[in-house]
Amino acid sequence: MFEQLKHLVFEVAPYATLPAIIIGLVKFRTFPVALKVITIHVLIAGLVDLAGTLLWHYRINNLFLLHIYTIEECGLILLFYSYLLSDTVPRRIFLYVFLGFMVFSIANSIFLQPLTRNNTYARSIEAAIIICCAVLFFYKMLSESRLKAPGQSPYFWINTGLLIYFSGSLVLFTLSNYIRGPQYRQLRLDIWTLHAFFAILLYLFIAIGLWKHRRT
Amino acid sequence: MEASKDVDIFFLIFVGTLVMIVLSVGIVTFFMVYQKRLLRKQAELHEIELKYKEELLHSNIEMLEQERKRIAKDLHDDIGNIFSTLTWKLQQLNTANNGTHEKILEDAKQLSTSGLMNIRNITYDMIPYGFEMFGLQAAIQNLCDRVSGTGLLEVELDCASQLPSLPEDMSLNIYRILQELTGNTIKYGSATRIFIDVSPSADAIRIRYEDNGCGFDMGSNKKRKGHGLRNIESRINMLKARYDFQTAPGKGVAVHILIPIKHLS
Repeated sequence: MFEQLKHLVFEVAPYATLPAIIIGLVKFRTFPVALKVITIHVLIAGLVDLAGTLLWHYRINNLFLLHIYTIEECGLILLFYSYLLSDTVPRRIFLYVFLGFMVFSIANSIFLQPLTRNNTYARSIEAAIIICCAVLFFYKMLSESRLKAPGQSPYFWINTGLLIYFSGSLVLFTLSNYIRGPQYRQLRLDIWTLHAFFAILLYLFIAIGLWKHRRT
Repeated sequence: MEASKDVDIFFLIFVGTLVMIVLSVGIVTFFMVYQKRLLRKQAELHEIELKYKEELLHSNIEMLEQERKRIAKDLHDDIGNIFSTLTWKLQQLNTANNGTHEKILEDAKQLSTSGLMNIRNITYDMIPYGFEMFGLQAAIQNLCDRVSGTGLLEVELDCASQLPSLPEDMSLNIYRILQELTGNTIKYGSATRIFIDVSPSADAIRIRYEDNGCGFDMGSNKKRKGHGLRNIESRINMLKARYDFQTAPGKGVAVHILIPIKHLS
């Protein structure tokens, strides 16, 4: 049963971004800036995934893509939240956080976790930043004077997806540093299967969010 | 030793991830439940607001109908009667002796004067005399003179400072509020004294209205609120003003109204 589930996750994971990309591209012109940013991010995620698969196919280490992707992901998601939280947090704060993260991420790639290894430190920090933004956004939604049914808001779905994905992945990113030896091969595989499952959930929630957007 | 370390890491990763997922799902669930509750509260408030607006509208329509009825009654009872009598008096001229002509003409003249007075009173209630020409301050003074002129009670007006120039609809609303308050005092209050203080400042006009009448229980006297107070409330809302209405049986009535005028400048 567990093996079948793992197999299913591995089968579905490479195509997880597709529904969100299709919906995003079809409705792109009608989107507000925040949703355009998320669509661009999902598109990049899909392309990075494709490039990673190709490199893996040719037996080339593809982990350097993850180092670049982490900076892009954090940047675009922070930009997304800077639009959503513009009346709660000054936008320059998001810029400072991103610049700080970028510096740390580059330093991490140079000194701590080279391009041939997983950049788990940077991923953990990124997860913590995004979790804070997601919780802040829920708080902001509750303090708004004119409330809407949460299920109707595209931002609710996207925020929920981001919160669940990064909460689930935070521990995986942090503790995966301790399972580097060959004896942990199976455990590593299980962990990245779990990560792939969270990623499928994330892109599913993003797809629902983009679908829920109605032109006003 | 190595096997135990494996189990520890596996346990940590499994439990840690589970805890984080439970926490995030908990946050989402809490958000949805809380938002649902807030939405329900918002809907209830919206309903109360709608009901209040509907009541105000009904009250306004009722007031309008009452005003029409009053005008129709005044025209029929006063003016109609006077003109009927006047016509009858003029017909008498044909049949009366020469000696009584002067008496009939005198009566007709008195009737005509009385008719004119009544028309003036009716039109005054519709548009206060001198309102357009002399402004709100003069109209309030005139209202006080008329009320104290009845001899039923004494009216003290404190309006020493010059009132600022206000839009006509605003002035008329202020005047109507005071008219409604004095009308209520005369009709229900059994008061002997009314005190009105109108003090303007740079950003607001403060109105203090007090009488020494019998007052009433705000909670139980819904009918009175339905007519007089709702009309006042409606006008106060139009002025975007704040008010405080204090009354109790045997304690008279005290009303404080604060009308913002900063936005006018």
